[in-house]
Amino acid sequence: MKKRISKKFTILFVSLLLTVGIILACGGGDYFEDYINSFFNPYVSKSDHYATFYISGESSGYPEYYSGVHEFDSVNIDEWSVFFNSKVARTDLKNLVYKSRIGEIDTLIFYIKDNHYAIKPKLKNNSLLNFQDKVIAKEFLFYLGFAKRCEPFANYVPDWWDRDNADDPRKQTTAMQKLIDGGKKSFSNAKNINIRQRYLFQLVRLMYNAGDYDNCISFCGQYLNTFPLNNSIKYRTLGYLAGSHYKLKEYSKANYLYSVIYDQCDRMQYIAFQNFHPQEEGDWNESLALAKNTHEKTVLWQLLGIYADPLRAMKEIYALDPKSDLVDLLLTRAVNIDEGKFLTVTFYYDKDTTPNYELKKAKVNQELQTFIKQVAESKNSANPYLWDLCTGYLYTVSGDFKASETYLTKAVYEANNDRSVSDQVRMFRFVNKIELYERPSAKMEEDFAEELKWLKSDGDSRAKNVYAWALHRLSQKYHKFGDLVKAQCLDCIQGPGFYDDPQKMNSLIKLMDKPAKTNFETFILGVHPFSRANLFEYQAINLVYQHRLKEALAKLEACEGAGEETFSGDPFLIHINDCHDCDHLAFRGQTLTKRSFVKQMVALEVKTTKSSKEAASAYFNLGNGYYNITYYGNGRAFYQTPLKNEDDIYNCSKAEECYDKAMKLSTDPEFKAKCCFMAAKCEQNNFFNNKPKDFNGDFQAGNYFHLLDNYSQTNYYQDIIRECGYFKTYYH
Amino acid sequence: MDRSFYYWKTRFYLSNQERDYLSNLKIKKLYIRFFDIEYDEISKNPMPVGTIRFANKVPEGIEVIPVVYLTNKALQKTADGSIEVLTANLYQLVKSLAAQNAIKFTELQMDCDWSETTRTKYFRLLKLLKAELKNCKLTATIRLHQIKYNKITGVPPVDRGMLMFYNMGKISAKENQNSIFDKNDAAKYVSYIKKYSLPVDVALPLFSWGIHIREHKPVELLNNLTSDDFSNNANFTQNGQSYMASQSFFFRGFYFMKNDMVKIEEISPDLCQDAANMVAKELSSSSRSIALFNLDSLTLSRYEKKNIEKIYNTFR
Repeated sequence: MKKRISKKFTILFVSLLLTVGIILACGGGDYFEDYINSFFNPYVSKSDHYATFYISGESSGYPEYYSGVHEFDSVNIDEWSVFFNSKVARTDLKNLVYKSRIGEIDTLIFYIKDNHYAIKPKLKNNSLLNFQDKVIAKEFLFYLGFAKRCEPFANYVPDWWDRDNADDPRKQTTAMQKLIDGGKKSFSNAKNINIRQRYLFQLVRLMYNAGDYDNCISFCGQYLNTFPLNNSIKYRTLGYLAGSHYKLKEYSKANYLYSVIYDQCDRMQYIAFQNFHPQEEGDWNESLALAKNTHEKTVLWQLLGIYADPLRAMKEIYALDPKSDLVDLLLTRAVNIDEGKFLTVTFYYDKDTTPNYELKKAKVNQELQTFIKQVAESKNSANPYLWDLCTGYLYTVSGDFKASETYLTKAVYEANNDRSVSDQVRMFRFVNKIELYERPSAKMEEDFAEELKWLKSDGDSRAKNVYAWALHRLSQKYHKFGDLVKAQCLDCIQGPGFYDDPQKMNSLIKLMDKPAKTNFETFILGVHPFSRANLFEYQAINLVYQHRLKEALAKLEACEGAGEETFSGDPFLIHINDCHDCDHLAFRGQTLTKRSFVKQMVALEVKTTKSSKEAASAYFNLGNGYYNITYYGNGRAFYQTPLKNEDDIYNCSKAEECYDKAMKLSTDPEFKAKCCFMAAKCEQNNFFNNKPKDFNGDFQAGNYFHLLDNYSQTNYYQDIIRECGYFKTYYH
Repeated sequence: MDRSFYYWKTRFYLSNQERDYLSNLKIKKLYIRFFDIEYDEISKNPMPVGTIRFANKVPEGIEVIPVVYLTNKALQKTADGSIEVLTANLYQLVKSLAAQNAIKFTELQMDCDWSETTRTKYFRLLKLLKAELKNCKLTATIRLHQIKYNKITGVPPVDRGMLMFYNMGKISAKENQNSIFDKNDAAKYVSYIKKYSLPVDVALPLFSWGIHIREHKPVELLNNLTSDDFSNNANFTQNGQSYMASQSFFFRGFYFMKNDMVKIEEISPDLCQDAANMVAKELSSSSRSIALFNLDSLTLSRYEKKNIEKIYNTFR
């Protein structure tokens, strides 16, 4: 009895996908992958038997690699359980088949022959020993022993790094041949048909692994048909037969057999597909000729449809058998693939160009559209609703909304109001409504609010795609209508300059403040990611950088919650060497919010009109505040708002101006030195903000460094020399 | 200046004609791809693919430099902790292949189009490999974008680089653009070569390929096929440098849909010469290897010996 599906078996199947030949040294791979958008859910086709081949939203490819190593473990035990009429416990069978050693099997055989034979309790308690038919029990055990002897030749996983693979058991050709010869004898002598069949499987697999493809094929040819049983063993045997043909480059036979396995054995459906590889039209036609009946032909075409060409395959299958439901899977794939061309992907690859969300009617595959409609009209397919549904959808994309509605209605009716079909139709109808929307209408807005809410609550990924698209597309429409506020709410990325325009901002705030909002207005304000407080804060912060502090404060105070974010450090603290983390860690005082910061800045500004000593101090602190809200300061987060957090602010001119004024107003040389140095810092930063292209150095001594010479007698001067490396360099 | 060629097939076999060719051109070195390393989804490990088999010997007097091609994806998916094992395995396999085929090598070359995100792993691999190699030289292929943006991609810790002066941009479906070598694309990068901190050898293109195009988008590369395959097939109609499939069918293991295009991109001797001229200008005169990619009798039959001589002689 076979232990488990050979790892080699799977690796063989998978490794056939790796092309051997000239492998060019290019970047490869990334050129050919893409994300595709999709509104159409293939599950609507109810071809779930083929669900493995439904196209997911993320890629137009196939499911991830899977390993079939243990695919048949439980099926195997099921079949043995049936074989023993459920008289032998599953756990006992599992132990025998997957865990026992050859010695233990031999012991069991001896014990059955002579119940005085020494046996471990563990084995003695195995319910196989209670099985009435001892002849069968023995035959089973003999077979099991043989299978375990074959196993190493089937299970071997080569070390790909070791060219020799000296321990590859398949090199022991004599040993393998001995097993094959012995196995053939046992095969002939076996009385029970199930066990005979399993001997056949072991032999076929051994021959395959020995590279003896011709004998494998002739052996199968002789005996395969003598087993009418359609169990897992039959298909696994067929798999090796197909593999042998493939190795001998007999592609037509190989692919035909894979199609049979694909069709008849669920567990091998995917692996059979993975091995389907026609090379030339000639061998493909030969595969078709090998098909015994129409059904087998349609299966082959379905494989081709999944592998390469859904439309061609659909046409062929439909011509052979209009009632075949094999086309349904292909229809979903064809539509999903086409969607990749006519739907916009809602990613932003390029900030400078806004994608156009219109459905690309020119990209609809005309041939596909014609064919689908033809089948829909004929009404003789297995599932007419599906064809009506797709016809309706493609009419939506090509802009014939009346025709779309006709077919969508038919689809719902023919599907007997099936929920998933109705939901899909509802989505397409929504798309129709949006595309037909040519002037703003309160009535339509009510409807849109309803549909958007429904889509948002639906967990299905296609519903999410339609939802995302709808927002973008409606925004585009409202832009056209001139209603920039609604457009902005629906898709804030489409109007980048919006938040810098006071008029537009006021309109938006007006909408937010509107007492009796419509459902639509409420919904889109919920979509809009920024709150009222965010908007006021944004305006206020812009004003701060324009040095219009009083106006900034007024803005913040006009809206509750605006500017509540706190600073991580003290923005009025300044050092010779900037150290943001130090300031953040050291901070123990009362946390300043953006709002209270602006308030303090306003108060300082007032103080600058007072006596020169007070003014100097005020200017110095103002300088600190202005400095710390630049990129170089410890309060850089001040300019990072939800609306804009990418552009850093580097300009230190205002801070420099304040330090300069403080220096000039003061008479205290220590203080002046400090102001001078801080101004120097600003000057240096500004130099590097706009440094000339060919400048390669680390620093540039500016005016303030020269001015500092006037303060060479102060203590602070010594501090600077100690702490500032650049000044030390300059000084020397 | 050492005249060299790249050999990039999975079966090493030199015909007598090819041997004469190498001898007449006084080729000193062969950069031979020993294997690729790709990521195996099932075992979840990097593994060698397309390992070379030697069907006959390398000509006497020609130095062999084993090359290992590592995909960026394999690097990405290999865990940091597994780089050491990968390096050890890689080196073992190179050594055993060389030993089995009586090849002594004094240089090993890694070929990998690493990116910013795989830089750390790759450079670590190179360092580990260098330690294993001891007195043997370690070189790495360098693509133009890695020279221009070396602040981002870094300079690999190797003894020398092999500058691949081709495939600068993406594979293009456009009729008038040659994805293998385009002067305008190259011009954007050449000026950075001088400043590159690693001494470089140069690889120039001498190959052709077919690009399978569907609805103006490249779908796949058609390995092993040449324009003759298409011009001799009734199901393809010629259209300039391209061929159009007049129906849907299987051909040489590929599937072509009606109206699919096959764009053959070739490097003519003149174009290769242009490339040579362009890059030679940027290099100081010092000893280096000039390699042509790649050695293939079909390709060679298109080039006259004097053209190849001229290309090599551009670098003195």
